[in-house]
Amino acid sequence: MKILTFKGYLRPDGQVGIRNHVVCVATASCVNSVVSQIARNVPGVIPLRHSHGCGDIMKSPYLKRTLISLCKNPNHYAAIIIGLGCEHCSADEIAEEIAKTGKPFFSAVIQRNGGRKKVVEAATEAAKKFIDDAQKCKREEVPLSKIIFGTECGGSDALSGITANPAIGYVSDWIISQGGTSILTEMAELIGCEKILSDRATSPELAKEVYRTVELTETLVKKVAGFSSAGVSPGNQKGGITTIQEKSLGCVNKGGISPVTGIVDYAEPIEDKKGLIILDATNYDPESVAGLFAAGAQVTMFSSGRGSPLAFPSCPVIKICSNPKSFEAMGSDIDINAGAILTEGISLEELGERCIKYLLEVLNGKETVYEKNGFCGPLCIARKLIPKEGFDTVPCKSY
Amino acid sequence: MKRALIMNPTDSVCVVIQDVTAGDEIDVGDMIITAISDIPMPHKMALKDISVNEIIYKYGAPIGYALMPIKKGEWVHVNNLGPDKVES
Repeated sequence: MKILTFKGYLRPDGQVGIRNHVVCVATASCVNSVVSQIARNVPGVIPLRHSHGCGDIMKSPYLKRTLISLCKNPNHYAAIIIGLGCEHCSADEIAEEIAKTGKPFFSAVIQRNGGRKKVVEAATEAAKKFIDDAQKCKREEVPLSKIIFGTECGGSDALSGITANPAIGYVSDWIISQGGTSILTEMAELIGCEKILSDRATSPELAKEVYRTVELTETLVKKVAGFSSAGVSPGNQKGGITTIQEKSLGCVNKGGISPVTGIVDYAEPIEDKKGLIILDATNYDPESVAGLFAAGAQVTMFSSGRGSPLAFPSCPVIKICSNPKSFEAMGSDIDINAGAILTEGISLEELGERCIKYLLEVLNGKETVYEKNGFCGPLCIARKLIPKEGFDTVPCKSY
Repeated sequence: MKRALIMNPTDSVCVVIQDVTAGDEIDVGDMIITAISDIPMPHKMALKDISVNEIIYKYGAPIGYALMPIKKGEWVHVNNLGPDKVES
């Protein structure tokens, strides 16, 4: 097989970015207005606003490590971290972790560094310099093995599992064949596929862990929602999906047919792990997309049957639509029309090759539909699910 | 003729890829089935008669149980397919 390359931004820690953004995060939602102000002062700074903080620490076990991992994402040239001062999630600790990567950063704490006005002024100065310096970075030729490819589906219909998800799976297998990494996630949409996935694991220990993780997810979903098919939304049902098993059998196709080589927890960086990695994250799209980029993915391919306007503020999300009807209805929100399998009569391989061509362009800098549209939604970080019967009913699983 | 896709030869349902009206003849690959319900695209149509509590297969894997007898050509969805068996 021909080993291909792309042009990306080589970071001091050896990771490679496909974008060169400056992001600004708050350690608590109380500071969101400051983050917004810095982003308004310096065009190009991307604010990552979230709704977590110290008051809901019990529900936010992933806040700190998600912020650390996201700031470290190689698509980010530099990061600005603003703390309030009384929260558990310390800006100093986040800054310390980012410093280890050699990435430029600025951090300040409002209660310690002279209040909102002074912090905004100092952060604005730092941000201007980051934006100027970022423009001096040049793309360099690197092998595709540097890519971590995220897979996601949202607003699925019964064609998602037949057209769009197998196309994503085709790309996933191709990235892995190039020595790269792909991530399969949304555990509640893998219920019923525990055997399929554990049979593909590269070791008996991993097989057991994969099986157990899906099984625990099912237990948790049943405890919280009362039934295992809670992952089937009214929109999924209108789109022809009846049971969670049916939905999962379509969702699992995003992982292609490659062996499963590892499993990571939410916001746990994948670093140099290769092959198909399972990310233990929720099936709630805004949180799992954040989880993919926190794991280190540079790009995510996201299928939708019903149509979904979700992307991510600072990393590219390629939207692929499963059917011609939704493409007609929401064409301006979609990068690739997998419905071409039905309308143009192309094969899955032909669709997969189209997707690879598009992905290569995106890796080299072409803007996705949502990048062109200036998507700037909130950062949604996974929360802890609390079963109706209380915390003790589910032994070790939480998100 | 309208078409439907069969994901695996062992499946008991197919997926219609155009909106179907009862009475339409549907090309499912190796045979033609007359639809006996209106079926929206991309919903499921039964490829054979299915009895209550019989496992329904799609993608070559079980997706649930028939909640009631289902006729060949009938729309298969939440009213007649569920994740659990019906208790007798």
